[in-house]
Amino acid sequence: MTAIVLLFVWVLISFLGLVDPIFLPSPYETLKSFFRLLSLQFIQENLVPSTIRVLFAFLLSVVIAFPLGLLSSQNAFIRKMILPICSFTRYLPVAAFVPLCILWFGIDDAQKVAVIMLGVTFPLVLLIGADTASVPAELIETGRTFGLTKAQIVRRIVLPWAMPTIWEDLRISAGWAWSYLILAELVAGNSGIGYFVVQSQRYLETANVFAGILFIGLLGLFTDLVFRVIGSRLFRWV
Amino acid sequence: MTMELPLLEFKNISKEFVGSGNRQIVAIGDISLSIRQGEFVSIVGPSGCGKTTLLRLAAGLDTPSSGRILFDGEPVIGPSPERGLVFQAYAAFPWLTVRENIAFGLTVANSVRNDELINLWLQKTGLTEFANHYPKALSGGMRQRMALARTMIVAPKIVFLDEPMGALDQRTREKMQLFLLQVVWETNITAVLVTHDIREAVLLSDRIIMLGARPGRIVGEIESNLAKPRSHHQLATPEFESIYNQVISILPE
Ligand SMILES: Nc1ncnc2c1ncn2[C@@H]1O[C@H](COP(=O)(O)OP(=O)(O)OP(=O)(O)O)[C@@H](O)[C@H]1O
Ligand SMILES: [Mg+2]
Repeated sequence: MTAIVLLFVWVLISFLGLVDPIFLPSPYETLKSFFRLLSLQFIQENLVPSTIRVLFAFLLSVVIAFPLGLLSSQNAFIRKMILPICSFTRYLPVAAFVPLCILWFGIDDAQKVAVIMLGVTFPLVLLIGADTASVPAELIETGRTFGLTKAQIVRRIVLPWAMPTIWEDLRISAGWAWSYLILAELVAGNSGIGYFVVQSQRYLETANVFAGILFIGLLGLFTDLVFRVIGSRLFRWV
Repeated sequence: MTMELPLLEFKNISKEFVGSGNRQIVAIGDISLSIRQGEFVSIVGPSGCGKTTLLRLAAGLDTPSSGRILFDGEPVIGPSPERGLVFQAYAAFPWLTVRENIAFGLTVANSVRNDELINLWLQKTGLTEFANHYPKALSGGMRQRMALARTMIVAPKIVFLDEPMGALDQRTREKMQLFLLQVVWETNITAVLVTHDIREAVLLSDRIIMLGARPGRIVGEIESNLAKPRSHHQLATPEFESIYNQVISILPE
C-alpha cells in the first residue's frame, strides 16, 4: 500500500518536472535502465563477480561459524574463550574495517571476501551458539536416559532441534553478506554491482544508479526467497 | 504383592540447590524410601516440596547432596535405559515422526530395527494411523501416550512419571489413566507417579507417599488396597472414599 503511494508520488514528481532528472530520474527511465542491466555484458562484468564473492565469503563464514557456535554452546571453556570476542566485535562497525581491508588485501576479490566475512562470521557464531543452546532440557535428558553419549546427543538431538532456527539465521545473515559486499564494492574495485552503481554516479547516470539499487534489492529478495523455499521443504515438522 | 528385596531405595537423601543470590535452597531434607518390585507408588504433596527433584535423583539426572540411592542393589551413578522417565511437559522430538519417536530408544541400544515391537506400541497407543505424522499433528493426550510408549518400548525395570497427566483435560486424563493402568498391568513394571490429583493417586497406586515442603520430607504414607484391575467405577466405592479421606487428612494442603 505504502509502496503504491510512494510510486504514485514518484510518477507525479517526474511528470510535473518538479525535480531535475539528474537527481530523480523518472520511473520510466529507471525501468529502461533496469532492463538494460539484464544484458550479457552487465551480467559478466558485474553480477557474476558479485555473486561469486558473496557465495564464497558467505560459505566460508558459515564453515567457520558453525563449529565455533556449536562448540561454544556445548563447552563452557570454549564459550568463555569465544563469546567475549564475538560480543565485542559486534560493536565494531564493519564499515570502519573497509580501509584496513584495502590496506591488507588490496582492492580485488580478497578485500570483498574479507569485509563480508568480518561482518558475517562473528554475529553468526553468536546466533548459532544461541540456537544450539536453546534445546529444551527434557529432550536432552530423554536422550541421556536412553544412554546416548554427549556426541550422540549433539548429533541426534541438539542439531536436529536447532537446524530450523540455524537455517533462519543463515537466511538473515545472507542478507548481511549482500550489504557488506555492496559496501566493499562501492569503496574500491573494478567490477561488481556496487562498482557499477558508483561508476554510474560518477557519470551522473542517475537512472542507472536507481536501477542498480533496485537490482541489489531484488537480489536480496531472491536470496531470501531461495532460503525460505528450501527451508520449508527441509523442515516440514516445524 | 511379593515381598522381595526393594528395587529402589532412597537412603537418607537430601538435595540442596544454590538459588538466586547464592541462597541455599534445601529441596529435599532427609528422605528414606523403599520401593518394591512391581509396586505402583504415587508421590503427592504441595508445589515445591521436591517431587520432581526426587524423581530426577532416582533417574540419575541429578546427584543427591547427601545419602545414597540404590537401584537393584547397585548405587545410582547416572541415567540408564533401565530407569525410564516421562516428563511433565510433552518431550516429543518434533523432527521425528510418531513412529520414529516411539522407536528412538531402540535405535540407541541395538541397530536391529524391531518393526513388530514398534507396530505393537503404535497399536497400543492407538497411534497407528498417525505413525508417519509429526508430533505437531497430535493432541496433548496422544503426545503423552507416545512419550509413555517411547519410554516403555525399551523395557525399563522402573518408570518415573512426573505429572504426565497434569496438562490434560478431564476426559483425556481419564483415558490416559486407563492406558497407564493397562500398560503397567501388562508389563508388571514398577512405577513411581508424581501427581497433584489425589483421586488419581488413590485410584492408580498400591501406595501413596505424602511429602511436606521446606524442606521436602515424607509426612505420611498410605496403602491403597483397592481390588485389581482398577477402574473408574471404584471412585464411587466407600473403600476409595476412606483412603481418599485419610490422605487429605494428612496432607498439609
Ligand atoms: N535446578 C534448580 N535450581 C535451583 N532450585 C531448584 C532447582 N530445581 C528445583 N529447585 C527448587 O527445589 C524445590 C523443589 O523443586 P521441585 O521441582 O522438585 O518441586 P515439585 O514438588 O516438583 O514442585 P511442583 O509440584 O511445582 O512440580 C523448589 O523450591 C525449587 O525452586
Ligand atoms: Mg514438579
